[in-house]
Amino acid sequence: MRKLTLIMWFVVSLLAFDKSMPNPTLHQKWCEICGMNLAKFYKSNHLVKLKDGKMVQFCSLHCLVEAMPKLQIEKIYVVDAKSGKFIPVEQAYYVVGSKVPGTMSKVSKIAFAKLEDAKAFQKQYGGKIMRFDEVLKLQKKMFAKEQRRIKHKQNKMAMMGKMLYEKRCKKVDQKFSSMAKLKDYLAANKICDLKGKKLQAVALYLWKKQHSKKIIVPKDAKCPICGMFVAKHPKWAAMIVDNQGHKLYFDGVKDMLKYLQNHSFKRAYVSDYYSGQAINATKAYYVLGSDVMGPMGKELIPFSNLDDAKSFMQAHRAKAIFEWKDITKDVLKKLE
Amino acid sequence: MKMLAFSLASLWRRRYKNLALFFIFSLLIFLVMSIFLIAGSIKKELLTTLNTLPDIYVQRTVGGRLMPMTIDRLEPIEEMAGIEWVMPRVWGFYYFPAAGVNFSVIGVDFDLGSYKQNYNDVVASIEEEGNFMVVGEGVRRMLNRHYYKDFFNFIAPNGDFIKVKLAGTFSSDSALESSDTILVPMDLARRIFAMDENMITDIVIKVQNPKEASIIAKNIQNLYPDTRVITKDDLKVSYQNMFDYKSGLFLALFIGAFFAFFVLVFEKASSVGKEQIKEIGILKALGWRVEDVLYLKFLESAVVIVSSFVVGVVASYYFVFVLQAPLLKNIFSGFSVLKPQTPLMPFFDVSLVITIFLIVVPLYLAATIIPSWRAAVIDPEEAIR
Repeated sequence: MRKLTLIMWFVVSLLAFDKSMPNPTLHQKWCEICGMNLAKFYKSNHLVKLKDGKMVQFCSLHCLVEAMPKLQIEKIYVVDAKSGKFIPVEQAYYVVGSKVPGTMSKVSKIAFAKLEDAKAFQKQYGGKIMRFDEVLKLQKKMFAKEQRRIKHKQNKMAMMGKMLYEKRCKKVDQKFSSMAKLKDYLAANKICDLKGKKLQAVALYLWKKQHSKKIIVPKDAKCPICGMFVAKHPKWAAMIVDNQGHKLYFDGVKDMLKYLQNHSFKRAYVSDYYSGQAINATKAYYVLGSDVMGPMGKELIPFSNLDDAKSFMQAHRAKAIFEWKDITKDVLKKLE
Repeated sequence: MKMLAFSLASLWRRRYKNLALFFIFSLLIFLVMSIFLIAGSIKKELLTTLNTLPDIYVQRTVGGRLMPMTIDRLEPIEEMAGIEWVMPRVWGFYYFPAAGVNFSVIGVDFDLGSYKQNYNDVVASIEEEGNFMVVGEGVRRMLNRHYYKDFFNFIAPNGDFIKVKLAGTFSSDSALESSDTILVPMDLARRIFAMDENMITDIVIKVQNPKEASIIAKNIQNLYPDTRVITKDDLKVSYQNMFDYKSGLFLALFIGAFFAFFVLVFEKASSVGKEQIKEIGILKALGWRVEDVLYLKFLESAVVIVSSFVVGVVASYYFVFVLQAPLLKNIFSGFSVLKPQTPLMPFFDVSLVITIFLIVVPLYLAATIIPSWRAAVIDPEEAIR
């Protein structure tokens, strides 16, 4: 019963707090990263001024953190939840972990220009007052975990989006540089007769489709090392583009590495064991000594991120995780 | 051509014997074909259902019975590696006394979509608010028969009526699904089954790499010891078991039929009567060669066996898929009397027809030609005497 009242109270407080504001300052309509409606989540918006003078707006600190490595940032601004104006983040007081639901995050972060406002908000909704440096550190720490959760939700929505796209939308063949541009295009050209969440679902699907990269193996491609048809084992496919621009396919990381002992390459890709997506071979993590066998027996199993590699290692009693540069001849010998 | 006319005339001379053989063989082939067709059809139906299923199911059990669980159990699973998506389900059976059947009422999140392709079709095409439902075509027919044209009254466990608008129908590959599934918004499903707001019936999971399903299932089991974690492979095995049991019953029938066939063949093979020896002798005396005699006998028996094979196969198709296999079907589908009746799924398997053809036809041909050959090599003078 107590749990129930707690949940009900939570729901009521959800309804009571609205993250949109009258007259928001919008440099774009959709979040650059996730494509959500910026006005709807205005109180957690962040704005970035780039070194070339361009402005990019994000729905949340989470999306900002995701974009950060690729941006030449000059200054970051955040919305003052009291006045609705953008203020430099250094001046902001963040209330972190209040009962207001977070945007793209389980921990909400609402910023205020004045300490009194922040304290008043804290009194009503709880939470802790922090400065930007601390908040950013916290966000960066939480990022990987949250990203995984968000990706799940986006996967689900993309499934839905696929249906909607096939039934209710005109075809889109273009590629887009950002989610925001994709959504602008959808809205401006009336591609779909959809709104809100359903439009977001279509956008997520198209975005995912644009970024989904699997190694596509031609039917007659043979592995140069073992001579087997690679297309029979698409989950294990690896590919290199050599200096002449030829594409060579391998049925496993092991054979690719054997080949590369005497050859050089321009680009190399391997397939992530879980998702099957193509990843840059030099940036992947490889698990050695697991009980999973590839088409050629013992294998180095590639993963795009370290967490996945670790949990795989645990589940399959593997021995070690290697990065690209650490794979030596001795390691290859262990695979014989 | 003349040979064929001659062999037909020769068959006609012994018409009662040959007609009897024709009927017996037709019946035998009909029986065997029907059995395999029903089995194949039900198997196809099961596989169609199975292939659309998610990789892992997580159900909470208390004292061995299924219980609802809270929705916050989803999150730790989502954080595991190798998972494509995790979805909550709210569903249950709703007994409809007027027709004496159980409907599956399935809650669907009309914002996020569902784990099933054909449910998503529904979600994509429906723009409806409030209390509404989308039903399989079979369910709609059943409701119409009971005068529910555009709404239906669910009776909640506390006795309240919940009036639900019939917003549309959906089609399904699986006849079972189409005649028993009702899709409603998740909150409405909770109200129909009187569940709390944050409760769910079970969790379904799709993994990124199907090979990893069993490992992930084990991890989930460790995470929630009070749950039962079922993978798609487990389901396949248990379906297969149930199916094999039913097939075993059929096999018993089948062995009987086959035994009868062999007895018949043996009987035919060993009965080269004096009459027949004499006939062959006369033909040879008229100047026929051994191969001519054998060709004649081959044509004779081929006419009988091929025509009865064709009749048997066509009749079994008619019996199973047009008449819906009265009597025989009950052996297989006896396990769910309360479920609405479903038509058998049309199914054609060339290899099945060829197998039966190869078992039956060459055997019969051999059984008739070999004794004729034995008779044909006897000296005509001796044979006629």
